[in-house]
Amino acid sequence: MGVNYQVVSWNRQKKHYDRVILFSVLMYLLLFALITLATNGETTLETLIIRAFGSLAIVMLHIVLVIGPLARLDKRLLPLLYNRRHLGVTMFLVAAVHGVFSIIQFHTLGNANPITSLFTSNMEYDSLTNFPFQVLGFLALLILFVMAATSHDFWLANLGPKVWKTLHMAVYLAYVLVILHVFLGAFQQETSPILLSVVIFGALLVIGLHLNAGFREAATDATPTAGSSWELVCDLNEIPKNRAKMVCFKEERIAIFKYDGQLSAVNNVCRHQGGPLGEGKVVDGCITCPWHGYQYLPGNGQSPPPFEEKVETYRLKLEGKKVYVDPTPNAPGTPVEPIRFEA
Amino acid sequence: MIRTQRRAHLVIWMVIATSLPILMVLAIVYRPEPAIMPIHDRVKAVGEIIEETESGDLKANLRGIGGKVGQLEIQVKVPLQAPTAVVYSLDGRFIGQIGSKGVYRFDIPSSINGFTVVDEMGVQELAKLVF
Repeated sequence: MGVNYQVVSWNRQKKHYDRVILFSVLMYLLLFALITLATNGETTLETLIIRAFGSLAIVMLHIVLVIGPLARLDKRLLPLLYNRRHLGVTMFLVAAVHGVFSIIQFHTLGNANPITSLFTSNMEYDSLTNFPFQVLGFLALLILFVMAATSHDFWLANLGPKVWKTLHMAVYLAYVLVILHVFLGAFQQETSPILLSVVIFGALLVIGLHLNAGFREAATDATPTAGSSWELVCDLNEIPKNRAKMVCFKEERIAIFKYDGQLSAVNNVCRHQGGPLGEGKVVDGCITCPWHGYQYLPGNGQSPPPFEEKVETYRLKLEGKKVYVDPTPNAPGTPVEPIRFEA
Repeated sequence: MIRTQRRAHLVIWMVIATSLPILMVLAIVYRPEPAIMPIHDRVKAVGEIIEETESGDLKANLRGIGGKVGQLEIQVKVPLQAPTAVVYSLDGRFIGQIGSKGVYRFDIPSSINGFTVVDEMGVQELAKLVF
C-alpha cells in the first residue's frame, strides 16, 4: 500500500514483474518477426508490425482475463493478481500500436479523414461476414484506453471503488469486441485451423474460468442465515493459519482470520479498490489485500499509521471448536478483542 | 467486489458464454469460400473478350457471347488508395464498386463506350478508361 498515489505503483516486486513483461513482449515480437520473415519473406514492415502487435495484444488480453479466476482457484497465483494492473496497461499500449499502424496503413492514404474512412469505407453493417470488423477493434481500443488511463490510484480515489470497478468491468465488452474483430476480420482470410483452434481454446478458457469463479462466488453468497444474533460459521480447523474463512450474511461478506492463536473478523471489501480481503492473508500481523497489498490490523480493521483506511469489524465467539459471528457490523475501525484459542 | 458487482460479473459471463460462441461459429460457417479469394473474383467470366483497354493500374475488358456485350471485367493491378472507388459508365450509369487488388466483373445490359472510377467521399475522378 502507499501513502500517496506514486508509491503504491512501484516497489521491488513490481519492478521485477515489469522487467519480465518487457522481456516477454520483446521476445514475442522478435520471434514473430523471425518466423514471419522465414516463412513469408515478401511481408512488408507495416504488415509485420500490425500482425505482431495485434496477435500479442490478444495473447496479453487473455492472460489479463484469466489471472483473476485462476488466483481464486490457486492462491499461489495471487502475486500475478497483485501485479495485473501494469500488464493491462502494457496490453493497451501494444494494442494501440496495432490500431495506429492499421489506421495509417488502411485509412490515411485517401482524401477522407482517417476516422471517417474507418467508419465509412465499408458500410456493410447489416452483413455478418463482410461486417466492418475494423470498427469493432477501434471501439475495443477506446474502451481499453479509458481503462488504461484510469488505472491509477488518482482515479480510484476520485471515482470511488464501486464506480471504478464497474467502469473496469467494461473490459469484458472489449474482449467480446476483440474476438469478433478477429473472427470477422483476420479469420475471414486466414484459413489455418491451428490459429483458429488456439483462439477458440483461449475464448473457452476465459469463459469457463470466469463462469467457474462466478458460480463459486454465488455459492458463497448463498450461505443460509438463521436470523439470530450469533451465526454459526464453521469449525475452527476449517480456517487455514494466517488465512480467512469467508461467510455472507445480510448481503455482506465477512472475513474471519486465524492468526497467532487468535480469531478476528472484518468486512471482506478492501477500501482501496474493493478487493476481497478474505482471499488475502495475514502478513507481519496485518490483513493484506491480495489485489494491491493494502493492509488492516485484524483487531480493529484500521490501516496502520500513517494510512487512514478502515473496514467494519465483527464480534466473534468460540464454543468448543465452533466459530460464531455476530453479523451486525461495528463502525469501521472499531476495536474488537480477538478470540484466543489454544493451537 | 461487492455483491452486486459479483452478480453482474456472473450475469455478464453467462451472456458472453451463450452469445459469443454462436457468433464465432456463424462467422466461420458463413465465411466466403474459398476464403483467400476475394468475393469479386468468384463471378465467372462470360464468353470471350470483345473489346479491351488499359490505363495505369487498371485493365478492362468488355466480354460477351456472339459479339453481344454482357459483362464488364476490370482488373485492379495495385490496390486503390481511395476509401471508396465507384465505377460509372461514361453516360452516368452506376456499375459497381472496386477496391483491393483483383478482378471485378459486372453484368451490364448493353455495351458501354468507357467508364470512370470515382472516389465518392473525396468527390474525385480517379481514372477514366475508354474502349
